[in-house]
Amino acid sequence: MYVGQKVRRKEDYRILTGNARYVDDIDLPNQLFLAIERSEVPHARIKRIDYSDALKLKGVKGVIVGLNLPLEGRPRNFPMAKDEILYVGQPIAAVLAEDRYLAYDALDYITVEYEELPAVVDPEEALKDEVKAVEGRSNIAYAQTYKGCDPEEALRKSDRTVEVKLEISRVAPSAMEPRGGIVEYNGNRLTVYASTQSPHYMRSFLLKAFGDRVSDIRVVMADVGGAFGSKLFPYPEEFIAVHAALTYRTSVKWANTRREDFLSTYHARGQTHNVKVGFNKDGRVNAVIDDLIIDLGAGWHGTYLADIAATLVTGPYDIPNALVNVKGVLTNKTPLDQYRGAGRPEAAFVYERYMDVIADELKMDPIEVRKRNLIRNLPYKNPLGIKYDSGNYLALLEKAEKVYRDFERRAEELRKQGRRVGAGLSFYVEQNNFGPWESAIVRLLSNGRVQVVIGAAPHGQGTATGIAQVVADELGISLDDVDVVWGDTALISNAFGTYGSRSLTLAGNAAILAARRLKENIMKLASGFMRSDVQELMYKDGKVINPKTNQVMTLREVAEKATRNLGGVWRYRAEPLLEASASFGFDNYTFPYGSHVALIEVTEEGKVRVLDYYAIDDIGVVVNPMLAEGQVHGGTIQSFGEAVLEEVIYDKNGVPLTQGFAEYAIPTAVESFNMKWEYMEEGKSDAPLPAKGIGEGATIGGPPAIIRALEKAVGKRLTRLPVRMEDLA
Amino acid sequence: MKVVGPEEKVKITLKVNGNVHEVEVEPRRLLVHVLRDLGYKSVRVGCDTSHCGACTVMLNGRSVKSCTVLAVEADGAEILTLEGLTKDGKLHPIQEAFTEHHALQCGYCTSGMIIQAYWLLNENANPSEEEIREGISGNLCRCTGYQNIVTAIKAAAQKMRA
Repeated sequence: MYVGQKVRRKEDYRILTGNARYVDDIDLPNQLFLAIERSEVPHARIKRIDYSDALKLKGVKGVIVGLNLPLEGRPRNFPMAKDEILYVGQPIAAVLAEDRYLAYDALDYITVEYEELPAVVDPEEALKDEVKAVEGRSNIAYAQTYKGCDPEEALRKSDRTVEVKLEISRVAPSAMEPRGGIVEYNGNRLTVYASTQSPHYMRSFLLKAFGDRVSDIRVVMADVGGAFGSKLFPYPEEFIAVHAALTYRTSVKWANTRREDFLSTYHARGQTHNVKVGFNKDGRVNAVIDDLIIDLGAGWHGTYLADIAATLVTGPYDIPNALVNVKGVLTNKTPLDQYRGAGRPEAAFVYERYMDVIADELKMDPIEVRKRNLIRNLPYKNPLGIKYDSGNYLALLEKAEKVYRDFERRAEELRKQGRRVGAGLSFYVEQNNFGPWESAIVRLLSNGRVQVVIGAAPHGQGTATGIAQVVADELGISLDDVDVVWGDTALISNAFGTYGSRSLTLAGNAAILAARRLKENIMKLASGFMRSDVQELMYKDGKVINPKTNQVMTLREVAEKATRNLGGVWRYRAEPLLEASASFGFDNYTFPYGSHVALIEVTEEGKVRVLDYYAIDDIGVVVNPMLAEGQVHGGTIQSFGEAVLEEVIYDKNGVPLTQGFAEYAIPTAVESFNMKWEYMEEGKSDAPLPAKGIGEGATIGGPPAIIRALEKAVGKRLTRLPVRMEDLA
Repeated sequence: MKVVGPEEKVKITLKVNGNVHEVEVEPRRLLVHVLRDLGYKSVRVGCDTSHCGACTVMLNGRSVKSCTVLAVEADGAEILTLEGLTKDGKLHPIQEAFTEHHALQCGYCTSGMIIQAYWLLNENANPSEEEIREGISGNLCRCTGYQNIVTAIKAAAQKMRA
């Protein structure tokens, strides 16, 4: 069995030797470089764009302005500002030149005349709807109410109530590879090399926009240098590049600089929660009422992030009454979309903050408060209709509690020495495996090797190794004989991609189902070769066996026999179909859960030092603990960044002050820390591979544990993500 | 002092992983871009401000961020990139340790990170955890959280000392 083992990654060799190819590493003949002139002001009316000087430069082949295409959730001025500039960084013009340096030079020769408009920056101001942020529309782009039972009445009847305003800043996903792409021009058929989490979805949205100008678009996913949710949904540059290739009839490359990436890659989080909680003296929570404002920026495609956060506001706790009023507001900022966790970190920050607040208000132990409210019986339907599937929340909490007690004792000892140290615990439930389904093809190649094509689009998670483990087990063959390929719309017809902690579970189960079908095909084929009835045969460890005659054929022998005799005639009893495909999905989401525990010191200079850290998850079956732990490590350090270091900051006029890694600090090795990770395997899904997914858990569990530890270290209530230096004084 | 006019190019020689290249470059062209144009694609750009280290190469025995070096400054230099670390298809102990300890995910930072580790272990054959963390603090990784990178560098150091 390979499932459950720490198997080394199949993906590594080409990366380690420098053979990986990210989009900017690919060059095509006759390729022009596309550079984008971006807005330097947050809100303005465009009066005139003069690019005649740019066209005079040697090597400049063209300039594009005024491109507008309709796309759901985006303003009219998309993918370019044609008459109204909506945020700093928005594309206004694009230059095509023979070389990257020339293209960027040419941007200096473009003059944009504009009349500045007042910018809407603060989401609560936006809610007043006095000054409009986007094209004269109402700033309130989205309003939704989620209600379960009678929260107002339950709040009134509670012994105590508490109100707290929780602010979650905007963050920049900051994958190490900035976004980019190449469009290969082949007449009316294009090939797009993309840094994407979903080549198939990219094909769909590009065809929707350009279907009248091309017959097809093949999307090939290059190696992707990190994404974290930020490379799933469409961006203006992709449309501009395709338009440029079709207009100038040549291949086009674009590659963001880091500054461009900060300004243009969708920001994330950006939620404010005004939470009222009603609870009894014994710590039982009766009701939660939450007014949620999400700062959508200059687009309204990120509203689902508020929906996810809202419907999980009661978290892993049995709270019967809940009300969430969601308001999504437009501002003159970079549009908002997903980042690792996508709505669930926001929810966890809210429910774990109010659990700690209640503990403090009642002077109760925070673990005891959690235990009194924890869901004991699964499946469980929360008051807003979300159905949690499986697991044993209490058993996991009790494991984490042991670590927490130890951390607390150590914190106490260090506090006695005059140091500012605190311990914090969070418990989270996650909704994942966002669907609807995923596809896979399993093929037996002529030399007996097995190739698995998956519709998921992994980019660092190691999913190819995990799925190879699953398929090797299903077929009873060596892991070395399985190769997993992905990331090309020409490889597999329809698929979704990698997002929402879904790939190993959905594509892995699809691969299992396809492998089972392949086995059936092989048995039928082998029965002809072995002159046996298929019912007489059995399949075991990569071999077809006739127990009566002791005849055996290996997969390789079947494959070789079915593919030889070039030029011969058809002499097969069954069709020599050496491949099978399958799709897999769930009729609900899956709900892993876990706990993070942190021991943190705030030094005299106000620096945050994590002294010890522990995480535990139950994601059902863990296919490869090494890969899963890698996800937890990375996610935890990202959540440390989000809790302590990272914040996208706009000045009051709407100018982003964080335009590079100097102003926006992602964790380096120095601030980062070691952690211990454990897992339980009680909360299984009912799939053939009963796994649930670990890609995002740590970004959900991390921030509330870190903030609680800091709160205990400095002795005052903390309500913001990230915490600021002044909060720790 | 040599004065170079607009659009004029300068001839330079670079010795990269033992291969000698003579190229004509604009004086403003960054070393990272010239190396990439020569096919050394493991040298990558992750920022414009020398924070991320994805472009780290060894230049005359020192680790440098090649996005902060003009190609003309490197005239005559010996450069080592990740492509030059593998000998006859055999991984260097640092590369071996990176895969053994799962010290890479998306891989974008990996080439710079390994070159930086190579420099670090040249300078200090037995670094402490703190020295490793300090030593790679100019190389950003968004995926791994660094824990396995630190473990891998420690393990490689041990192997290389043996």
